[in-house]
Amino acid sequence: MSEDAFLDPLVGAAIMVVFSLLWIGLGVHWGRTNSEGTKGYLFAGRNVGLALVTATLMATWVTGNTVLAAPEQAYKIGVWGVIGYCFAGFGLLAFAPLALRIRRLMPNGFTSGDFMRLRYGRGAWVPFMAISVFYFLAFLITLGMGAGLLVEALTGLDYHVGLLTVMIVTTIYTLLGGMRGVIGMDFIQAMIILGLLIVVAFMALTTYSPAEIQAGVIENKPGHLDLLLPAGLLYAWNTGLFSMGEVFHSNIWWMRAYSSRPSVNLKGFIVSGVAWMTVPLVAGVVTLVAIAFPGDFDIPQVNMVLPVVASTLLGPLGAALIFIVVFAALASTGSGLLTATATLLAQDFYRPFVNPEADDETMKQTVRRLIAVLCVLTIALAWVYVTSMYGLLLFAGALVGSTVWPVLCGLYWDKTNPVAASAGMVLGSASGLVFYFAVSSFGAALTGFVVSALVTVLGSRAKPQDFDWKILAYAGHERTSAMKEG
Amino acid sequence: MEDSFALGVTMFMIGMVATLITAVTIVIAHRRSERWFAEHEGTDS
Repeated sequence: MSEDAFLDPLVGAAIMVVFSLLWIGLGVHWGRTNSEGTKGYLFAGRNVGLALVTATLMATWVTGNTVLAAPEQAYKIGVWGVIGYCFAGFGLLAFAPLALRIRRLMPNGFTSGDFMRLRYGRGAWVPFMAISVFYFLAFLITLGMGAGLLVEALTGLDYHVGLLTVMIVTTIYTLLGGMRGVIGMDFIQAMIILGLLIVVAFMALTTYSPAEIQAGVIENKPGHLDLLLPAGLLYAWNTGLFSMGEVFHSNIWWMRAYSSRPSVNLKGFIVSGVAWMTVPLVAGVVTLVAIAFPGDFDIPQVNMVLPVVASTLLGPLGAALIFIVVFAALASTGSGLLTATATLLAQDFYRPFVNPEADDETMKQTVRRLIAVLCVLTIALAWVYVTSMYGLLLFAGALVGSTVWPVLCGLYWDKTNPVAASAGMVLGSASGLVFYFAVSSFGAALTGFVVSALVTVLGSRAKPQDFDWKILAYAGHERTSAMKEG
Repeated sequence: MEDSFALGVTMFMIGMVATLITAVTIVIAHRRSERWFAEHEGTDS
């Protein structure tokens, strides 16, 4: 157990037990209302309203990284760390119009893989699924490792306690509650995250005025307010483009587009994108206090800046608040990840290759089994902490950045050539990885994004194709006919 | 490499232009799409 923990291990364990019981109890409650097969279990009836859509999008996008890595970047590279991290909200904002179009073109769609297969065929579906599955596994592993590390650092409890608690509790309430449970829980978790961060920020900014903070940062780390800092410039847009890659290809967001009422799709993504930006902004600004007044805060490691500031200002209560925020952030992201990955595997691998005759109930049970398998797999892969969490995600950034323009063109431009889209993803990923290893991890997503965009657009211009949009309406069609309509 | 000002500025400019082009493309495409759906409302799309 760590001697530098911010919370007493018993208090940390008590918080985990209370919130675990709350999550599972609510999962049981919401699970009782699921009676519409996959339509109810995976898409919450495809009729979710604005408040719940906004909250689930925001809560899912707030990860352990948002709460701890954003302050870390602010502490390391200053104001660009804060602004650059906020740019990750662009992913949700840019996806808003696409979500509306997805809902209109594919009213019964299941996954992002559905779209790739129907729009471009197997040639593009293969690299897309390879990127998607790799990204989901990397995300799940970083989530599991993050849970273990954060619980250990904040409470002193063993790494494996956090890993097991977060993964098992999240899996249980996801299995019981389905998408209705996940979205309901996300709403509560979003309120907890925003509410508690506001308390911490209020305390920080009433203890130290903004003018004092600015003067302190100028005195101690003047470079941190320099908008021409090279690392900051390199970091700035990469985060925004990386976030677009993460959102555009990912089945997490496609499933939320399919679950929402068409009338709230656009608004929900825009409001959640803006609301999400306040989280790294508030967390980052609070961190500047530690730079301005280094004598008041003892920072043992840079990713623990926010807990240090909170516990110094508010005592053990501050540490407890941050622990609850982190626990809620991990659970909300974990539930969305498990559901999206399991549905993608069931719909795009199990159904076409293992059981083409699977009916609605079989698909629902398959998704549930896959959620449990993914939980076990994540625990096994994250059991030994071997790599930097953020480094692994930046590696995935090189790949997901290359999916943005193939998805964008595929949704809006009937002339897009499937070969060009496929080549865009392959060449974009390859060039992003070359940049990652040869130059810097910070520009990998940007490189993949630009190369893929050029290949997709120029290739389609050179050899345009005609696509009939009606084909996309077949997404999920065969499943819908076998489904009990609500 | 991450301390190179030239690399930082170059990637910043490329990133800014790429983001702008993507944003403008999405807005134009979204407007066209909405116009199309409005014109074909009630018909088989």
